[in-house]
Amino acid sequence: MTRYQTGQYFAAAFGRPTPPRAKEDYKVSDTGRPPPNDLGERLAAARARQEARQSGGKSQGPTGLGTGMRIAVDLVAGIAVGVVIGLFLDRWLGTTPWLLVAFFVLGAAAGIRNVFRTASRFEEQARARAAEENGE
Amino acid sequence: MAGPLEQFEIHPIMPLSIGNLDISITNSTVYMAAAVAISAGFLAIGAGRAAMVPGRWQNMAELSYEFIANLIKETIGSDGRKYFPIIFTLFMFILFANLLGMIPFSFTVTSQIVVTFAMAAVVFVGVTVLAFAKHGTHFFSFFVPPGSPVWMWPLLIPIEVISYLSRPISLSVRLFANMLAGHTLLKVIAGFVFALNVFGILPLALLVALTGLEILIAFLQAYVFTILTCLYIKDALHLH
Repeated sequence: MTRYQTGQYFAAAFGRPTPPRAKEDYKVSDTGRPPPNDLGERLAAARARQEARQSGGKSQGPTGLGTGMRIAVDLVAGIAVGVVIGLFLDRWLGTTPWLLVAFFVLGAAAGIRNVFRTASRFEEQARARAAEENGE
Repeated sequence: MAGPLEQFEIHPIMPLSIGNLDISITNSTVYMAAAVAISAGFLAIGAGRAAMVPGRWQNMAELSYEFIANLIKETIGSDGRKYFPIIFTLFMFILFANLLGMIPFSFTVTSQIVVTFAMAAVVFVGVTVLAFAKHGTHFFSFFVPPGSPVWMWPLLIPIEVISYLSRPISLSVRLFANMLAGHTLLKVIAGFVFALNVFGILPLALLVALTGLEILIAFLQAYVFTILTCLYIKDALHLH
């Protein structure tokens, strides 16, 4: 522990010479200018450290409720679009109810396709997170 | 006592009309304008005094900027930089609309399907136009799953087209349904507080916890809307 002497902090204000400091202290910016060589390296190191910290903090998974909601909405949206297209084409072409039936099935398939896509994205994220955690 | 669904009613505050067109200023209009003004003000305060050592406001503004910038970098890649303004605007608007709705007695703009669908439609049309501008008619190859046999195409292409058309619906319904369900739940539980007299302390405790959850959902849904927009833009730029 360093023991400070009385008057150390006031020295500058009263024009008395400050106690000499160790050489490393001057390295930072006492001269008012960036130190000559290693600033770039140190910046890069600090950025890397910050990045590591940030990516470490971000690695919490999505909530179960949110995931379920997303997948349910994906499925229903596909069916809804299929049904709307089917109803519209049926009214237009007078083929009630056959196109509705066909597009309901297609819409359900599209909904499942949506769900599959969303789920595989979650899987990918989970794998990336796992890889990241193992790597560190 | 007010019913749990009364909070979603739209009242005209200043009746206005052009011919038969009703353009009254409603509570919805007011809260949308407030969301725009507060998000713009928040960023203006944050960016106003660009100090080397950021203060609290500047820190928060920079945090939100970096959050979206990183999101774009991770999902779209470096060529997504160009779309930062629209993505950031969407995120801030939805976030502030959601958070404003968490203030007691206020109105939640994003619990209206019209509002969320309008935003989703803008994203959908914008992304489709972008894909056509970028790839021309080659864009239609997006609807053919890579590596599928040709005799399956008559079945697969309609499925992919329906899947593509369902994007704005799932995008808008997700945000709208989350907000509607969350705020209805809050009001229903709040109704129990008075109905149960002394034991009302139990639903009150639940209400406190649910309010916290709703604030989390406000952030989460803004994030989900934004990340899906990013993914759609990525699809438009790179197709498969």
